[in-house]
Amino acid sequence: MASNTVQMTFDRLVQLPGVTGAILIDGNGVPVRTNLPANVARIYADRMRPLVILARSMVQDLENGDELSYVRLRTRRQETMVATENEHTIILIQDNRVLDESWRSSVASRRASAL
Amino acid sequence: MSKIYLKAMEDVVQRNTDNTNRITEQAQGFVVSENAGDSLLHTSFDLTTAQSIVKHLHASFLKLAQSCVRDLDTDDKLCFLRVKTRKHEFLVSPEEAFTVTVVL
Repeated sequence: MASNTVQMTFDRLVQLPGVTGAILIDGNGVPVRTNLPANVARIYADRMRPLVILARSMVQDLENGDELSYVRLRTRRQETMVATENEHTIILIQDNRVLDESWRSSVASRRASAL
Repeated sequence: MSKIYLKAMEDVVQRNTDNTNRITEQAQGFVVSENAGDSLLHTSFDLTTAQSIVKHLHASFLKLAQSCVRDLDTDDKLCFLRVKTRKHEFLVSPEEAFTVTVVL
Protein backbone atom coordinates (compact mmCIF):
# COMPACT_ATOMS: atom_id res chain seq x y z
CA MET A 1 0.00 0.00 0.00
CA ALA A 2 1.31 3.41 -0.98
CA SER A 3 2.23 5.78 1.82
CA ASN A 4 -0.29 8.38 2.95
CA THR A 5 1.88 11.21 1.64
CA VAL A 6 1.87 9.82 -1.88
CA GLN A 7 -1.87 9.18 -1.69
CA MET A 8 -2.51 12.76 -0.58
CA THR A 9 -0.27 14.10 -3.34
CA PHE A 10 -2.21 12.03 -5.84
CA ASP A 11 -5.56 13.32 -4.55
CA ARG A 12 -4.35 16.91 -4.80
CA LEU A 13 -2.92 16.50 -8.30
CA VAL A 14 -6.11 15.00 -9.68
CA GLN A 15 -7.85 18.31 -8.96
CA LEU A 16 -5.43 20.47 -10.96
CA PRO A 17 -6.98 22.27 -13.95
CA GLY A 18 -7.36 20.25 -17.11
CA VAL A 19 -6.43 16.88 -15.63
CA THR A 20 -7.98 14.23 -17.87
CA GLY A 21 -6.17 11.26 -16.34
CA ALA A 22 -4.02 10.36 -13.36
CA ILE A 23 -2.20 7.16 -12.46
CA LEU A 24 -0.29 6.26 -9.31
CA ILE A 25 2.30 3.53 -9.89
CA ASP A 26 4.21 1.59 -7.26
CA GLY A 27 7.86 0.54 -7.33
CA ASN A 28 7.08 -2.59 -9.34
CA GLY A 29 5.43 -0.65 -12.15
CA VAL A 30 1.91 -1.66 -11.15
CA PRO A 31 -0.83 1.01 -11.23
CA VAL A 32 -2.32 1.16 -7.73
CA ARG A 33 -4.69 4.10 -8.19
CA THR A 34 -6.18 5.76 -11.24
CA ASN A 35 -9.22 7.58 -12.56
CA LEU A 36 -8.75 5.95 -15.96
CA PRO A 37 -9.91 2.52 -17.14
CA ALA A 38 -7.55 -0.16 -15.84
CA ASN A 39 -6.31 -1.21 -19.28
CA VAL A 40 -5.50 2.39 -20.28
CA ALA A 41 -3.65 2.96 -17.02
CA ARG A 42 -1.69 -0.23 -17.61
CA ILE A 43 -0.62 0.90 -21.09
CA TYR A 44 0.59 4.26 -19.80
CA ALA A 45 2.42 2.65 -16.89
CA ASP A 46 4.19 0.20 -19.20
CA ARG A 47 5.19 2.88 -21.71
CA MET A 48 6.41 5.41 -19.15
CA ARG A 49 8.46 2.97 -17.08
CA PRO A 50 11.48 2.83 -19.45
CA LEU A 51 11.24 6.61 -19.80
CA VAL A 52 11.57 7.11 -16.04
CA ILE A 53 14.41 4.61 -15.81
CA LEU A 54 16.34 6.31 -18.60
CA ALA A 55 15.58 9.79 -17.23
CA ARG A 56 17.02 8.85 -13.86
CA SER A 57 20.25 7.50 -15.33
CA MET A 58 20.51 10.41 -17.78
CA VAL A 59 20.28 12.93 -14.94
CA GLN A 60 23.10 11.12 -13.13
CA ASP A 61 25.20 11.10 -16.30
CA LEU A 62 24.70 14.82 -16.89
CA GLU A 63 25.69 15.72 -13.34
CA ASN A 64 26.74 13.33 -10.61
CA GLY A 65 24.57 13.66 -7.53
CA ASP A 66 21.62 15.33 -9.25
CA GLU A 67 18.18 13.70 -9.04
CA LEU A 68 15.13 13.58 -11.28
CA SER A 69 12.03 15.47 -10.13
CA TYR A 70 9.71 15.15 -13.10
CA VAL A 71 9.44 14.91 -16.87
CA ARG A 72 6.84 16.79 -18.88
CA LEU A 73 5.95 15.63 -22.39
CA ARG A 74 4.03 18.20 -24.40
CA THR A 75 2.34 16.75 -27.46
CA ARG A 76 -0.10 18.18 -29.95
CA ARG A 77 -3.10 17.11 -27.88
CA GLN A 78 -2.08 16.83 -24.27
CA GLU A 79 0.66 17.30 -21.73
CA THR A 80 1.81 14.30 -19.73
CA MET A 81 3.69 14.85 -16.49
CA VAL A 82 5.64 11.95 -15.04
CA ALA A 83 6.75 12.69 -11.49
CA THR A 84 8.82 10.38 -9.31
CA GLU A 85 9.11 10.30 -5.55
CA ASN A 86 11.09 7.49 -3.91
CA GLU A 87 9.66 4.29 -5.35
CA HIS A 88 6.43 5.77 -6.66
CA THR A 89 5.59 7.40 -9.95
CA ILE A 90 2.62 9.63 -10.70
CA ILE A 91 1.50 10.14 -14.29
CA LEU A 92 -0.72 13.14 -14.90
CA ILE A 93 -2.41 13.80 -18.24
CA GLN A 94 -3.58 17.34 -18.87
CA ASP A 95 -5.44 18.99 -21.72
CA ASN A 96 -3.27 21.53 -23.56
CA ARG A 97 -5.91 24.21 -23.97
CA VAL A 98 -6.98 24.20 -20.31
CA LEU A 99 -3.33 24.21 -19.26
CA ASP A 100 -2.59 27.19 -21.51
CA GLU A 101 -5.64 29.10 -20.29
CA SER A 102 -4.77 28.62 -16.62
CA TRP A 103 -1.18 29.66 -17.32
CA ARG A 104 -2.33 32.78 -19.17
CA SER A 105 -4.76 33.76 -16.43
CA SER A 106 -2.09 33.33 -13.75
CA VAL A 107 0.29 35.50 -15.79
CA ALA A 108 -2.45 38.12 -16.27
CA SER A 109 -3.26 38.22 -12.56
CA ARG A 110 0.41 38.58 -11.67
CA ARG A 111 0.68 41.52 -14.07
CA ALA A 112 -2.47 43.09 -12.59
CA SER A 113 -1.11 42.84 -9.06
CA ALA A 114 2.19 44.37 -10.20
CA LEU A 115 0.41 47.54 -11.41
CA MET B 1 28.82 18.30 -43.17
CA SER B 2 28.73 20.37 -46.30
CA LYS B 3 30.02 23.93 -46.28
CA ILE B 4 26.69 25.16 -47.65
CA TYR B 5 24.91 23.62 -44.67
CA LEU B 6 27.33 25.15 -42.20
CA LYS B 7 26.97 28.51 -43.91
CA ALA B 8 23.17 28.29 -43.63
CA MET B 9 23.53 27.48 -39.93
CA GLU B 10 25.85 30.44 -39.40
CA ASP B 11 23.28 32.69 -41.09
CA VAL B 12 20.57 31.47 -38.74
CA VAL B 13 22.82 32.03 -35.73
CA GLN B 14 23.65 35.52 -36.95
CA ARG B 15 20.02 36.45 -37.46
CA ASN B 16 19.04 35.17 -34.03
CA THR B 17 21.83 36.73 -31.99
CA ASP B 18 19.37 38.95 -30.12
CA ASN B 19 17.22 35.95 -29.22
CA THR B 20 20.10 33.81 -28.03
CA ASN B 21 21.51 36.70 -25.99
CA ARG B 22 18.15 37.17 -24.33
CA ILE B 23 17.92 33.44 -23.57
CA THR B 24 21.41 33.44 -22.10
CA GLU B 25 20.52 36.31 -19.76
CA GLN B 26 17.81 34.23 -18.08
CA ALA B 27 19.28 30.74 -18.38
CA GLN B 28 22.47 28.85 -17.73
CA GLY B 29 22.83 28.35 -21.46
CA PHE B 30 21.59 26.59 -24.55
CA VAL B 31 22.59 23.85 -26.97
CA VAL B 32 21.55 23.42 -30.60
CA SER B 33 22.19 20.11 -32.34
CA GLU B 34 21.40 18.82 -35.79
CA ASN B 35 19.01 15.86 -35.79
CA ALA B 36 20.31 13.69 -38.62
CA GLY B 37 23.66 12.96 -37.03
CA ASP B 38 23.09 14.33 -33.53
CA SER B 39 26.03 16.64 -34.02
CA LEU B 40 26.59 19.79 -31.99
CA LEU B 41 25.90 22.95 -33.98
CA HIS B 42 25.84 25.87 -31.60
CA THR B 43 26.08 26.36 -27.85
CA SER B 44 26.86 28.83 -25.10
CA PHE B 45 28.33 26.08 -22.92
CA ASP B 46 31.81 24.63 -22.97
CA LEU B 47 32.29 21.77 -25.40
CA THR B 48 32.25 18.99 -22.80
CA THR B 49 28.97 20.10 -21.25
CA ALA B 50 27.31 20.66 -24.62
CA GLN B 51 28.36 17.30 -26.00
CA SER B 52 27.13 15.58 -22.85
CA ILE B 53 23.70 17.19 -23.29
CA VAL B 54 23.58 16.21 -26.97
CA LYS B 55 24.63 12.65 -26.20
CA HIS B 56 22.37 11.91 -23.25
CA LEU B 57 19.42 14.24 -23.80
CA HIS B 58 19.11 14.67 -27.57
CA ALA B 59 20.42 11.39 -28.93
CA SER B 60 19.09 9.08 -26.25
CA PHE B 61 16.33 10.37 -23.99
CA LEU B 62 14.53 12.55 -26.54
CA LYS B 63 14.34 9.64 -28.98
CA LEU B 64 12.77 7.44 -26.30
CA ALA B 65 10.28 10.15 -25.34
CA GLN B 66 9.26 10.56 -28.98
CA SER B 67 8.71 6.83 -29.39
CA CYS B 68 6.71 6.70 -26.12
CA VAL B 69 4.35 9.35 -27.46
CA ARG B 70 4.00 7.46 -30.75
CA ASP B 71 3.29 4.21 -28.92
CA LEU B 72 0.50 5.77 -26.89
CA ASP B 73 -1.15 7.49 -29.86
CA THR B 74 0.15 7.00 -33.40
CA ASP B 75 -1.41 10.29 -34.53
CA ASP B 76 0.17 12.38 -31.79
CA LYS B 77 3.62 13.95 -31.80
CA LEU B 78 6.03 15.26 -29.18
CA CYS B 79 6.23 19.07 -29.39
CA PHE B 80 8.15 20.00 -26.25
CA LEU B 81 9.93 18.25 -23.41
CA ARG B 82 10.83 19.43 -19.92
CA VAL B 83 13.06 17.55 -17.51
CA LYS B 84 13.19 18.98 -14.00
CA THR B 85 15.88 17.82 -11.62
CA ARG B 86 16.87 18.94 -8.13
CA LYS B 87 19.42 21.38 -9.52
CA HIS B 88 18.43 22.21 -13.11
CA GLU B 89 15.62 22.27 -15.63
CA PHE B 90 16.12 21.23 -19.24
CA LEU B 91 13.71 22.65 -21.83
CA VAL B 92 13.95 20.65 -25.04
CA SER B 93 12.36 21.76 -28.30
CA PRO B 94 12.63 19.15 -31.07
CA GLU B 95 12.22 20.78 -34.47
CA GLU B 96 12.31 19.23 -37.93
CA ALA B 97 16.06 19.45 -38.50
CA PHE B 98 17.38 20.78 -35.18
CA THR B 99 16.88 20.28 -31.48
CA VAL B 100 17.26 23.18 -29.06
CA THR B 101 17.78 22.71 -25.32
CA VAL B 102 17.77 25.59 -22.86
CA VAL B 103 19.05 24.86 -19.36
CA LEU B 104 17.59 26.86 -16.48
